[in-house]
Amino acid sequence: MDKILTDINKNEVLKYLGYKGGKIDEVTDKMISDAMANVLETAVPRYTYKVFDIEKENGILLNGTTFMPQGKDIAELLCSCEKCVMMAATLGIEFETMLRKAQIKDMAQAVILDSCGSSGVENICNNIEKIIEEQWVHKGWFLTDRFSPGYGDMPIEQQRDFCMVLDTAKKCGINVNGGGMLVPSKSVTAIIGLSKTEVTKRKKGCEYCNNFMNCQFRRDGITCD
Amino acid sequence: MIKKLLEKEFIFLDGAMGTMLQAGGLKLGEQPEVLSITNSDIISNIHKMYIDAGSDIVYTNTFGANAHKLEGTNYSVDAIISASVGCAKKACEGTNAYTALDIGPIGELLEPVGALKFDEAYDIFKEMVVAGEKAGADLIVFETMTDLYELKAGVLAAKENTSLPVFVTMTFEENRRTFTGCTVEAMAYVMEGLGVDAMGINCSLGPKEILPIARELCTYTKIPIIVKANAGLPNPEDNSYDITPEIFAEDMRPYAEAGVKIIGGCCGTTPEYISCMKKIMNGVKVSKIDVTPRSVLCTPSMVVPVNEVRPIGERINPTGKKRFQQALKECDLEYIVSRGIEQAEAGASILDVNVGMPGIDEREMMIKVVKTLQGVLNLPLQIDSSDVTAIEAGLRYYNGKAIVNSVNGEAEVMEKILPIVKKYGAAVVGLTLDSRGIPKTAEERFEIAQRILNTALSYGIPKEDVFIDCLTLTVSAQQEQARETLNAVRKVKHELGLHTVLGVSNISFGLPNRELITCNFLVQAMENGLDLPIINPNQKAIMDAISAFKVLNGEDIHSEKFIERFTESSEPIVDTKTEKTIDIGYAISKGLKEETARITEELLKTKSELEIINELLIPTLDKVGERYEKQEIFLPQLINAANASCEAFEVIKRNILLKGSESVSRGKVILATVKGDIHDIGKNIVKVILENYGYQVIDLGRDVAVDTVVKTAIAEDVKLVGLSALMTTTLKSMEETIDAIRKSGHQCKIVVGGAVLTEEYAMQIGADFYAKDAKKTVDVAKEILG
Repeated sequence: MDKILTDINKNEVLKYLGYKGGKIDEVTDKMISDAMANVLETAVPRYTYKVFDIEKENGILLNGTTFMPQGKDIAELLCSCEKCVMMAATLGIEFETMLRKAQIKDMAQAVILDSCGSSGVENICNNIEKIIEEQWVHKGWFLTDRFSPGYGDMPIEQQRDFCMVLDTAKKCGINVNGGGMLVPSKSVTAIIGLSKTEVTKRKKGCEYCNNFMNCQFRRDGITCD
Repeated sequence: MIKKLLEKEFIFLDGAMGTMLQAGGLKLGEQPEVLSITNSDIISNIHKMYIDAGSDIVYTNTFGANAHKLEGTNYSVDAIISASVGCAKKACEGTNAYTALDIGPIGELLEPVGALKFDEAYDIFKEMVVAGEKAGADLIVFETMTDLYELKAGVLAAKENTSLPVFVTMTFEENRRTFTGCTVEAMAYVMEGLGVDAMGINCSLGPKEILPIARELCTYTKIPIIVKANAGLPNPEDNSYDITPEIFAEDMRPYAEAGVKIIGGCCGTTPEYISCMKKIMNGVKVSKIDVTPRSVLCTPSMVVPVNEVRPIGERINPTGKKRFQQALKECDLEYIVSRGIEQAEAGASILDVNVGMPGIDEREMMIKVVKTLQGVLNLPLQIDSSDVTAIEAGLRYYNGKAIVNSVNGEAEVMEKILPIVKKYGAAVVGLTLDSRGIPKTAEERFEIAQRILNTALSYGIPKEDVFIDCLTLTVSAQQEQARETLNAVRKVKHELGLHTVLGVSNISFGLPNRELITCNFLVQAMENGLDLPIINPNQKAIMDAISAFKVLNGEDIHSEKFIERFTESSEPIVDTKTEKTIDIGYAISKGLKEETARITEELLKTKSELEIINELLIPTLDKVGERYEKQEIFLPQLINAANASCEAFEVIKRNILLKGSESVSRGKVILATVKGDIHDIGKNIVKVILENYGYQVIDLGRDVAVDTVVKTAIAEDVKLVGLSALMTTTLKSMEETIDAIRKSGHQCKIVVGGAVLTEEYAMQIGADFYAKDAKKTVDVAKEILG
């Protein structure tokens, strides 16, 4: 696969923007289409991933590292897995600069770009997952859902160790700040389990969604589906 | 030491440290620098193996030995660095090899993308370089850098606090840019300007892929070039590298002909790679590459060569601009930076930045404006001030190669400013005047230009970085002077061979149809050799004149840009409702900015400012807000409406300033994204909406220290403070900020918001209000401030 960012899903963008139906006026609609095109053109997405064997003695340890993912949720996700993939993806700094400029020039454009960015990084993750699938499924492996530090009961504080193990700063330009936030902001880290036996993929709930941290729906106490 | 080494045909560096340690059992996620203390023999041994393989310089095991990365290891920077330098020196003992203090990126991104401040980065590097020199390192190497700004902080820290030579290498991808978008060319000019001893490229790619990038670099600078390539490309499944020592050495051979003198290996390379490479280079000569000196200015991602007319935008300047002066007083950076964006879009190549005004701390303001501008714009800046401290601050915090505006022929002015220009590697404008004033004749101005050039050269500033301003006088007052200026421009350009700057608009002062005179003078000046006109790019006629000149002068190849400029762009969406029937309510709710401004101007003829605000703007915004709450419209539409009403407020503000009366404000609100939190889009939405209800927002930005919020609230006597936090990890800072405000005794209400907050939690941490969105914040503001 040459391109890792292939599409921005307009419905997803509208969802992030809090759209609940009704007529979208022409001006706004054009702003959204322009922003989608802009992100596809401007963003320089980067990613890295690596496959590890899992050792399970006192908790889960990724072989060859000091990294032990914490929490019951990730343990459950990986319970039948012998291997896992650690991945990191980002829309890149170029997107951040564009977003920062938009915030001064036109806040409406900025919120639209922000939503396009969220959708964009989701698209990159899906494409990386496809690459991994192509490499492993034909060898008889099954992939679990993606799971990130900060979801469920996996502490966000593990973000720093996660990025150190994958050397994300060097491999794809993702850094972690003091609060465990990824910089550039449109970045995702995730673990995908690889199992020899079939895994039931959960219906993707809120906590498994990359927009979990800043979802307007969740704030309103509802879900998007 | 450097001189002696440079006499050799090649300087051989070492190969990877991490690869060697991992082969020896180091686990991913472990801090390799700690091994210099816990297993110093292993480290010394690796150095020894590289020296035996032929390395002239070995890099210490200190890549991540900075305060940020060592946090939580129980070892101090000083302890790790002194042990690591010790390991390398031990291995160098009795050999001709040297010890380089190795410094990698801090691991946290600098502002504006991250939260780390330039000064904080400087301090982190300072701690390292001071420890390294004390421990006996022979030189300092910054490597694997991706951010030019971070690298600049490091180089300044090294040069200002040690006497060691400094080498720098950055990591480029195949698109010849770093992760932060920095180009090879920008690195070359900025690092040469800062006076590093060698520079180059390391990591990310193998020797084959780096070669074209290195060839490009060699055409920009005469400073010795370094290349440390990886052992090919990594396999993404397990990150192993794909070329053998023999292939690596073979692939390194063409570097000699490219002109690269300092060579080694990066990830995946071992002592074998170095010895193979050394064997293959035996007897090979390094080619000397011709470097044509060029006049260039740059940001990290854009280099602007002065090889054609490059207009400098003059609008960031308070002189004679009431609205701009007010923005400076209120520290309204957004207004100031918007003037930059506007000029960039109108076609300026460079932006002049002048923020000097009585009652303003010019140095502080210069830093703020430079940082904000470079955060959003990709144009080189011209630091314009008569205050030496403001000039120095502007250059220090500027990320790229800037111009200083200006020096003149007075010896004491040059003595003060030229050393700063040299230190930061900037270009400089010299005005052809001195203590006796502006000379009347072209010849006398030429003499001053000559004097400025010679003095600049004596400070080591190259000729290419000296631009001369022959000064425009008002033609209505001194008619014969227009010709003298033009003659001086021609002489300076053609006899001294320097680029010329000229502020042109002064020419037409006091005449009718000023634009016509200005444009004609500009064209004459360009014909006489003006390259850097200082103009208002928002004046279409001026930009048109430049555009036409570039066609006639053969600068605009095939008239491409001219054709593009004058070819109709696609029709913007026009509202079907005819102009006459549009009222301000309709214009705002549809987000029609220009219409809103036009109607407001009309309304001001019959209504007072406050009437317009209270009877028309606020009710309209309320209606839009209600529709948003009912989910009839969604966020972008709400903000579009707010933006349109912002135009109305701008018209009203200008009107009030013209009349010289007090500004309209319904009260002040502080907004801040709390300490540790760098996601501020939510806060910025709230800001736009509040401002459009006529509240004055004091925007403290993101990652705001607790103390700053408290101090500002007290100093500005603010009755409503809005805090935002996006992450669970930063809610604690929010609580601390609320606590500190309460403890200060300052009476005010606090409203909080952010993705992870709930009403319940907001109350629990002591906030007065929880706002789930911007609309709710306005409701709170109305309740508290009226």
